[in-house]
Amino acid sequence: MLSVMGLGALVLLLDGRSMHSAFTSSGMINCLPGHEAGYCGAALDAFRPAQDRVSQLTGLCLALPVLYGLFLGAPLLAREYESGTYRFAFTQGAGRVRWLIAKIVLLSSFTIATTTAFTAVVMWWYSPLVPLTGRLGNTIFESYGAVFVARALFAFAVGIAVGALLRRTVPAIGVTLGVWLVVVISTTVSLRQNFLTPLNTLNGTVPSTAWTVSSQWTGPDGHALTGNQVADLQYRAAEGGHKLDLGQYLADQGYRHLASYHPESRFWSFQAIEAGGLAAVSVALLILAIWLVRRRAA
Amino acid sequence: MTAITEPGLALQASGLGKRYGSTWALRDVELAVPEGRVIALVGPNGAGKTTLLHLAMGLTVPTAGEVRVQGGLAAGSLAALSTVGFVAQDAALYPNLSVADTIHLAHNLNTGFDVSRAHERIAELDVPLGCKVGKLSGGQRAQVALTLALAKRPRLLILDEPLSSLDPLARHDFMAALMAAVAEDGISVLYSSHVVSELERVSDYLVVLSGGRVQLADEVDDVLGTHWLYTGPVAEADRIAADLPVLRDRRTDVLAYLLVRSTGPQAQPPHGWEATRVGLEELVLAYLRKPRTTVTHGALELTAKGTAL
Repeated sequence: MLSVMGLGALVLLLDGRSMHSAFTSSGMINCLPGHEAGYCGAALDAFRPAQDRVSQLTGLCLALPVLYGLFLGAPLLAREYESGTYRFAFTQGAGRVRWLIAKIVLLSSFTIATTTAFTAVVMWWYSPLVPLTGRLGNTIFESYGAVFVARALFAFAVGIAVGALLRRTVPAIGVTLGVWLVVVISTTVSLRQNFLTPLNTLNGTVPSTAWTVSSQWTGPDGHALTGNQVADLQYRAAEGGHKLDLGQYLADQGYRHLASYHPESRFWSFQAIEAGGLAAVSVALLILAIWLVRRRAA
Repeated sequence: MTAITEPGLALQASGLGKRYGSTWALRDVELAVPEGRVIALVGPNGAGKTTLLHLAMGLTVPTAGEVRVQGGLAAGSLAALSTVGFVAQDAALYPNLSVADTIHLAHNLNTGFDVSRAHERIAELDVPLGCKVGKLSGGQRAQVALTLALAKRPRLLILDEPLSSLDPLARHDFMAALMAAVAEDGISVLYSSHVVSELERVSDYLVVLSGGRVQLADEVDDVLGTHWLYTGPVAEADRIAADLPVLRDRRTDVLAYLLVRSTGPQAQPPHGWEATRVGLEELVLAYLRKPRTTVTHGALELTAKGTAL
């Protein structure tokens, strides 16, 4: 566990150094909003390899929290039952509830400490890109900050509760992986965007760092346009000589670009909502596991 | 074996039963075993021995009735767990922990754990402290488990099949260590076994379990004092068998050999019959072969169902 996280952090540290220097040397630093706008094409090209690596590495970081569920949480009780060592653990003077609480406190502290350290590295590693791409509508959301820690804690709690129910290690690991994936994916895909009410704009101008949750063109008659129709419209407008004032021209024609988005300033609110929700569910699952161990015969 | 003061009960069960699915692993168990005894729980495999011991440790929840240990403490309660030591079948220690770490763990999990005593015993046994428990021999592992249970300074020690996986030498050493500890601390011991030899030497209270029911539960001395082998003419055998509970009935053309439980302490065989004492092993086997006989301490009458063979 530690070695996986340590290795991951090392990779990020090494890559971070090269990315930070690439960021400066490529001139990307001058392309950021607020800086004097220069010509950024060359800088973007120079920086692209670094950015590709970033997206690969954030993809890898996504999977790390579930390891705490698979290797720490699921076997915690399941292996005791499976190998029969519960007969030792549950018959000591401390009793099974104190034994389990001690294990939970120790291992969840370990989980929180190591993931916090790891995400601190992620935050440093990703820092140059924050003003460029934002952190909300981006896979970095899951590895950056409290959500990363909460996802690991959640995996750990699911693992313990499933292990208490199934009492067999391999099935517990499988079910833990399944539950974690379902919750995490459904949160990312459909729940998160409803945490807060998105802001709306009628002219389609959304900050580059914001998370656009919906984007829709309507025609002068108020009907929604399909993607093909929009592309066609833009092509004909450009052909008609409105390449540079495309937005204004279409607006004058009665076309509206409605967009809903969450601004980057909401990042920590989103983190707090998602991490808080996962932490609350985790605590409930841990209480369930303690209750199962207390109530059920071994 | 006579109690001077009224002793507490080491093990007490009333109406105790445990059902797994639709089969009863244990049923209608009534026990009242006094403290200060070495109690042997014998029975064939699948008789319900482990179930009874797990119930006594609170590892299993009874379907019916209740079980109490060490002077009326509820099985599995914190008070019971801190005063009752348990050695599970095959020791059930963590194979990847070293002996020293296992002692450390037991120390953390028990108040009043005697670490120095545990280390002393391990040193006496020549078990390497740094060795992983999984790499020890079966005999060494059993000794480590016994050491941990004793270092807890229990008043009652419960052992589930402590001898089953040991070779004869390790078996002897284990029992010697156990008996020494009993003599030293005056604790009660409840151990299960499917081995019926040597029972007489190492136990002074006997519980025979078969088919999930208690067949016999009494002091060993009382058991030996009330069971006789009556030998006499086969023609009178039916008359004798009608008066006395017969455990085993063997007849030749001329002679009948009746293993009986006499009602009083002094056996007066009928005229023309000869009474001889029976060894404990033979007695236990007779009870195990006779599945529906129940004798418990203080209730000397046999249930009538199984008396006629």
